Amino acid sequence: MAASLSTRRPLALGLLMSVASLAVVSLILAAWPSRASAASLDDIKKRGYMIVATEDDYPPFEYVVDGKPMGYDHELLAVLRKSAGFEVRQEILPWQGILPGVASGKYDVALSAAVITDERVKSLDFTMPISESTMAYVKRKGDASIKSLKDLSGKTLGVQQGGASFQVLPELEVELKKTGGKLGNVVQFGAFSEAYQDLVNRRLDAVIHNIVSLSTLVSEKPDVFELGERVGRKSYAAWAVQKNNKSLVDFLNSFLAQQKSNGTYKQLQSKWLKITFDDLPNQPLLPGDRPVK
Amino acid sequence: MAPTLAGSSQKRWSELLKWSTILDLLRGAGITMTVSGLAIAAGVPLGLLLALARTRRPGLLRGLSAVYASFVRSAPVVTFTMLIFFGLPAIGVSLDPLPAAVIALTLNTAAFNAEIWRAAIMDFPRGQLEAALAVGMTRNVAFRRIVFPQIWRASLPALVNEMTLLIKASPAIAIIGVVDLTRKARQIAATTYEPLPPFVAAAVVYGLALALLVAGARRLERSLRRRYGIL
Amino acid sequence: MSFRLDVIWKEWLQFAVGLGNTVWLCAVSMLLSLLLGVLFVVPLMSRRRYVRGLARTAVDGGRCIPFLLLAYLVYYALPTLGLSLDKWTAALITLVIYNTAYMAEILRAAWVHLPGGQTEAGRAFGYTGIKLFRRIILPQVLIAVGPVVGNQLIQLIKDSAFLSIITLPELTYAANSVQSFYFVPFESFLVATLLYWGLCGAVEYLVHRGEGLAALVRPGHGH
Repeated sequence: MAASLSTRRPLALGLLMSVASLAVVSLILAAWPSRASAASLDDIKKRGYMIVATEDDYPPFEYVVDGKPMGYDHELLAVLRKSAGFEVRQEILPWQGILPGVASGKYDVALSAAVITDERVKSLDFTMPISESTMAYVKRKGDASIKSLKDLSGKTLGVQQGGASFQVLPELEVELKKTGGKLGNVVQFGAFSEAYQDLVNRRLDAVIHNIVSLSTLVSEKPDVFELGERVGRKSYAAWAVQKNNKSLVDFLNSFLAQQKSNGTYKQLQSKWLKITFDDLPNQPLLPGDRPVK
Repeated sequence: MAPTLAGSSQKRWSELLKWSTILDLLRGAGITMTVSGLAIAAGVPLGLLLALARTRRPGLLRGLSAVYASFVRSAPVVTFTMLIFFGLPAIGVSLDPLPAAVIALTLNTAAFNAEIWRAAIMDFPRGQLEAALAVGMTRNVAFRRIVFPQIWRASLPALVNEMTLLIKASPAIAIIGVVDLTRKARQIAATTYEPLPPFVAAAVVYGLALALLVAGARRLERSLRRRYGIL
Repeated sequence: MSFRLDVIWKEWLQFAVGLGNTVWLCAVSMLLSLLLGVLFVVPLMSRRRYVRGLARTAVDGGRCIPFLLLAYLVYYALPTLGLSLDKWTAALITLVIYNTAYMAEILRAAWVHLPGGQTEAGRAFGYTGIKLFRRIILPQVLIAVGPVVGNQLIQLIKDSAFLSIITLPELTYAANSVQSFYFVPFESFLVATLLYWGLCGAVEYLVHRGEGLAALVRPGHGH
């Protein structure tokens, strides 16, 4: 007899048992002690290590080549390791796991150039910015149908699942409406490398991402891609920790302030980002230079 | 003319044949085999435990394990893996990617193995068991010396089939960042913009691994049949 | 414990659309691969070694490749050979190719295990070749494979979750989209898994009812 999911028990009884066990499980979950709370700086020092999460496919900020992590964030992490006084463990995973992981206390810091957005500050606290991260779009080189922002009307756009590129879409829609256009089809990708591939394959007309990453892409493949205009307001990228973890934010901020003043920022920015941001603010700012709170 | 990233046919395959790329791919294959191997090693006995729980007298344990098995067997491996890795931390259970991958695959395959073991246990002739008990063996001894040796041989084809299914479902672990063979092939494709060579190479490696597994199992079956008669 | 089901409820439409896409994709692929499987099973049972061997290799090969890898090949590698498909077509093609191999094998196994009676009777009445296949053998085989096809459909539904990786908006994609935006991974994936459970349960139930029908339709013994 073919193996199957059905047992000889009548359907009704089986259904009843399933509902009953689900109820039991839900009750247990509801009563479960609250989410793992973040480790404060003291906790981290006591336990001897801090866990940071970085993305595996986010050039030039953090990416992996032949098994070795590299990038702007990674070099900052290397400097942090030297001055930290405790062990810093690094987890490399896809973007979709990083912020949820920090928000729930699984990781201490999202050591990733995460864009500060209105939605994110509800569950996360950000350090001072490590880079400007205004959104922009990239198109196929020679695609004459897109000459400026308003030409994105009705086009198929690629953004990242859970990414700031996705969160900038409402702003883009408003902009397009002003010139009589509308937002076209939007495809959400797990990783940008796949979005770029689909752009080349003509499944997409444009990909939205922060201007630094796009500039890097275009400089690597100038005969394939062409950088478009900025999309949305000026925004910043910073590291993120669980909300209200003040001691950890302060620790990271003092580290970053140091790197700013001793020139490391400038050096690493010109090395990896190919552009320096000389007047990054000293506190996290929402898009449009609005203060958080 | 739209820009293409694909080079000429020759150039396309030359990227793959670089030693570093092949090594990289093999690294991914190693991860796939390790994770799959661990999940198989843990999942087969765990399935047996589950099956035993289900064949006991009706009770809470039997009901719960039935529901658990049904639930896990309906869950796509991708979704289940994401639930384990991304979801569990939210209720306090935090795992690293690699252990999470092994656990997710283990739990999944155990549920299927439980069905396989259960079928073998239920098909087992009662007469033998009753005779064993009549002779004075306890249930445990009877199981160990009479039932188990026969049911594992009977279950072997189905268990091996489930192992092949596990290996084929293993790319699901890439979604939580584990760089298995499929993800590695994807990475190579993304950096060289030549997807065909690494994917074909990965397909070949999977095919070889599966063929080896099936061939090995068939050999084992044959030698068992020779020694013990019809299974 | 903040079990944020409210967020899931707010995004119920995404889940519903995802579930709907999963359902129709799998249903259509199963039908198509059943059709193709019927076509493929003939060479598989051919008396000519060469033909049988070729079909055998194709079916075995098709059952040897991981679904995700096949999806990648169809979606990302084919464009470099000139054939660029949109993700829906690519998804359907991947599902059909993958499933046809299994269908062919399932149909073959059922054919081989058919009790000889009806086929012999058919031959005695003068049915041969395609007519014999179409009117005598095939109906028996199709009725016999019911439960196994049901099981295979469940497998197909689960494999379809891999399509979320090529951004197809099916159920797992919807769950990932919601969880990465609202930071509710546990709730989101749990709900998705429960929905898959329900879907598989529904398939099981249909198979159960189908078996009942088949028993009615099945010819009696020895009249």
